[in-house]
Amino acid sequence: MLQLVRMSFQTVRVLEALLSQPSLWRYGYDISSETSLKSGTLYPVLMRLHQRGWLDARWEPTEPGRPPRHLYRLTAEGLQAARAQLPVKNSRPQPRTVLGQEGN
Amino acid sequence: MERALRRLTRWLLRVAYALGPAGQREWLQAAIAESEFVKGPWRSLSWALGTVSFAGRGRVAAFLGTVWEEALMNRRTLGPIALLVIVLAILTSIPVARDAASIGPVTARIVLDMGQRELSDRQLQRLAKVAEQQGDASTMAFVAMHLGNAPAAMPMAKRAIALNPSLSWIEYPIIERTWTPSNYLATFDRETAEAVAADPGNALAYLLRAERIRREDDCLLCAPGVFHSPSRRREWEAVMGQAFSAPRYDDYLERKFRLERQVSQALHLSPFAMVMATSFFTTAPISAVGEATSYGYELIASGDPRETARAVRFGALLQASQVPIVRAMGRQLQTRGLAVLGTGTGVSGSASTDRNPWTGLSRSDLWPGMAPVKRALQRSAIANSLALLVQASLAVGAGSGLLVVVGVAALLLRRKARVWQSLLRGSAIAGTLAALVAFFAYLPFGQAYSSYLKAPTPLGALIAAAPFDAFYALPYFLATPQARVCFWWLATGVLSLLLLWRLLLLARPALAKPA
Repeated sequence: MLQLVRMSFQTVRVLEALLSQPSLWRYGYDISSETSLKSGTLYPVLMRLHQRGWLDARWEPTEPGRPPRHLYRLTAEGLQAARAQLPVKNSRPQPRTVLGQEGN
Repeated sequence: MERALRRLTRWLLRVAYALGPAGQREWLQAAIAESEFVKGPWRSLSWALGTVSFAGRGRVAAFLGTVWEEALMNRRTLGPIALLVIVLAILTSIPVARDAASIGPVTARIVLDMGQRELSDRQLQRLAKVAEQQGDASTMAFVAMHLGNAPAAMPMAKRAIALNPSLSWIEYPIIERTWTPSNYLATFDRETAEAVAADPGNALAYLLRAERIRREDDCLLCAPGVFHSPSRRREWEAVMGQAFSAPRYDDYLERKFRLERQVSQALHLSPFAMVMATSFFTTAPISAVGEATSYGYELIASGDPRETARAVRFGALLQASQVPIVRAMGRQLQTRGLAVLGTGTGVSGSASTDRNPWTGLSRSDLWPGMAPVKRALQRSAIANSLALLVQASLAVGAGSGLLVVVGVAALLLRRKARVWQSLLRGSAIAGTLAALVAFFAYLPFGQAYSSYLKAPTPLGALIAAAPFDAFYALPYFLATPQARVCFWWLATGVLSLLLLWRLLLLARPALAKPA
């Protein structure tokens, strides 16, 4: 049984960015640069995707004196949901419903 | 500059970390760490501001609950809410809008209270009760002047005067207001005697006593100065003589308007309904002044230059009145007396017999201030349209509140964040529209009210604002109490149905697309 998930266009843009290189771990600033989303918009989206189980996150140590960085990548479930969503998307991202699996 | 920006950025990031809720710390740390890699001080600052916004919204969401979290953490929700807050902040910072809004709640309550335009006696007495407990003589005086129940008004006035003796003049408006040809107070003599004692130099009290004598002669249809009873005529002449010898004439109207302005502002009452309804046409002792003017014509007709000079002097005294018709009668008396004194002869022709105080007065003399009011009322179509806009904006504003109420009820059954999102967004947009429409619709009213509050003499400003009486309620064609109440019920009912329909659309089960 499929369940509809409502999604903002900002979320769609983040998914697009993550879907472009799905195996690659991405930094928040990179995603922000690619999607033109500000930090105040991007992080709530990332947080929600992570809570939904669509996003993996891990810390990466950096050079001494600099804080570790957070990295993000779609999970298998997130990948499936994003792929189901993005082919039907028009050129202008809009809020829409997305087919996800029951229990999301 | 760059150094200052970097310091500001670091400070903002510290604020964000402190502000964020515990459940969001990891994500805040991630955003803060990322700021190290943002290029350029301005971009860093922008990143830090975004992080503060993320933390602040998270804090609000943590406080409000999980359903709200998803509803609020969304630019489509926050945008309209922010817009509403900004619009309200701008509008409420405009003095004219603040003045207009200050009387809004009371006005709305009065309009909704079965369509009455003024405060009822019961509401006034409730105000007076509080004022008496607080020893507020001004409000007690205000209530006394507006109470419809005359026997209750005078004791109230006396209690106000006992608290503040400088208010002794308030007995005049009460005496005058309750004094009609068919009915005048049994305590009139005592009260006018008190009024004379409080202000013995004022001709007004003598004129009121003369008028009383005139009425007791029961010859209201007689020509001016003609009495049934010679003894009453002598009595009347003696009191008129006192009036003509008084050093001044003060109808207290300006003081009355000042007091009404002060109290209505403090109580957030609209002066355009409350004050105007009972002030203009009831306080001026026009009939008494008319009798005095005809007495003045008798003096002129006597041919005695000393008596004529008394009449001229009295005519000059009347120029101090705030009532245009009283001033016009005084001017007429003065002019005729001066003409006689100038020629050094008696009066000839019609002037020798005409003692009618109204002769020679034009309609514009009666109430010159009414001309602009009349012109403005002729533009009532505009006023009505604006009034409708006010009603509509209030209805939309009320509707946005209702939307939230209905939404709460719905969410008790279905705790859906997207329903909240839509409701919040809809309420914010409706609220913004309502605020803007109400502001522009109320702007002329607000300007009139502001000028009334600031004018050195409130009388003129109130006359200029008279057309805006229409702003409180419905247009004239809907001005009956029943129509007004029906209108509100209709507006609320239609709006509720629309909102219910919208809510049903929001809450209906979503249809799944085939895979």
